[in-house]
Amino acid sequence: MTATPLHYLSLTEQARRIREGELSAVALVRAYLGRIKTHNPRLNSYITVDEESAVQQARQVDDAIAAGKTLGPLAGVPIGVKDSIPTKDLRTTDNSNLLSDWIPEHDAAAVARLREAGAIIIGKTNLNEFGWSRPSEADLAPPPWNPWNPKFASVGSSSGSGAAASGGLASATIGTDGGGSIRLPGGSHGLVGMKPTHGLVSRFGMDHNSHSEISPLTRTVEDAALMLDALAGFVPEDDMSWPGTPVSYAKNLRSADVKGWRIGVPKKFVDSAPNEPEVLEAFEAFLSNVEKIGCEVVDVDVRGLAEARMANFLVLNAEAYQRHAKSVGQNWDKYGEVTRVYLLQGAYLGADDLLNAAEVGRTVRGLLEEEVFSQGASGVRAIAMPTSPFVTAERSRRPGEHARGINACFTAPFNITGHPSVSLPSGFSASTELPIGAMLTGALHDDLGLLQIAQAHEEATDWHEQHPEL
Amino acid sequence: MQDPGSVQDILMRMSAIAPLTEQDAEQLQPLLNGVKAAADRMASLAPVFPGEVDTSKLSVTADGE
Repeated sequence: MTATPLHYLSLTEQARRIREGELSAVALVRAYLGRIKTHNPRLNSYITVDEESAVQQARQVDDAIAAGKTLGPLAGVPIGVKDSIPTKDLRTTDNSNLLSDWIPEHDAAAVARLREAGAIIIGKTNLNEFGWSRPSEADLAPPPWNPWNPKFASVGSSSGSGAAASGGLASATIGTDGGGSIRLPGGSHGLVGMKPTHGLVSRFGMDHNSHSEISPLTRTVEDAALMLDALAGFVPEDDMSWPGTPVSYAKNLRSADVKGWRIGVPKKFVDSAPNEPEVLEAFEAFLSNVEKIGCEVVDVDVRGLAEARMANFLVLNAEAYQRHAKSVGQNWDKYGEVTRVYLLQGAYLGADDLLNAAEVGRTVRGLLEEEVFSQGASGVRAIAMPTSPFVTAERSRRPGEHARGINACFTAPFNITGHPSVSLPSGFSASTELPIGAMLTGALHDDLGLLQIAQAHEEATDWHEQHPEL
Repeated sequence: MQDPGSVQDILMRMSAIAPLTEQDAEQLQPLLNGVKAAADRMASLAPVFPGEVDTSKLSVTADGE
């Protein structure tokens, strides 16, 4: 059996080796910097690489370990951060010419938490401009390509984060998920993309999107749990931050036996989407594996998911327009040609439209909690669906469907409802060689239960052990 | 939400915000029509005070049927 190369080891294993003195943080950072230097010109996964500071941070970790100090659980592991999330003293562009020189004075709260846990911020990952619209070659940085088959674009909007984590250009990455922008790249890059319950990870310090969650993209479920341990927690300055105390996701990952847990499949909803045949094949394989680990797969009726998707995008459209309303006119030529048109979608919306959308979102959230996840009628622990109806980014961007958010028909409903949702590797497309994801969504604040099912699923497969050859 | 109307209607209204071209307005029109359809769907579900959203009217398919 061939040993896993250093750059594809799990973050958990890398952190253990650093902690126990088997690996130096400097060596790990230099390994990733080398890979970035070699592969980023083709993949475009990073916009900015913080080479000097990353080595300096790694040296501090190694010195601290040599001095016998106790460090955080992520000590020495290099993390890529989506370039829409502000990083102190490190250029943050949102992949826009408008912000090409912006150097924030503060870290976003999530980045500060990663640093407190010992993580090294190695660079800023590529994205659709402002996490919005469709990428174009005219953006500040050209679009990223999928390491599994660089003939295909990386699915976004956290596209660079997906490419960097799957291509072995970081231990893990973080991005944001406002309609599927972590779970969709998670699926198409063979990664674990975990959108936590609304408010569990604070968005303080970055652009205010009501339903967009800062989320990890990792190569294993345990890595996602470890990242969530670092990211989750109350931030008093954030009015949307959850004031509770999160459990340790990593420590409790294997503490439950998932045998007998019921996994609901909203079959009518899933079958009504324009799924590509390879997506359905992978989803069937996923469900078979879920049964293999002892879960019971049952049909479940879920109403209002399409309306929740529509409501979510109405809110996103309005918020994006509000944020850019004054700037888009003054700086029209600095915005991407696609982005600036997309931003104007929200200009026609009124307060009643937004309040109607919020009310529908609340209603569907209540329905899910009371009729699906409660221990009453169906009492399922999680809902299973494909992550996306489509395999490739190119297919996802077909104009008529993209405008209606069909590519996000499975993911976006759970942004406005706030439920935790995770995309997991579930196979490959033979025609494109790209990975395909399946998605589990759980009750509010059952992030741990979701990760426990995901861990059991992962232990019964080898999809997470496969990596692209670059 | 107000009906966005024709490309010329959109161009006239949006020109007050940004220097978009007719080609931009042509791109924007189908997007606005999508937004309008979603906003109308939300409005159709909005309850009469003091009622609540009638959940029996919520769809079961990916396309909102």
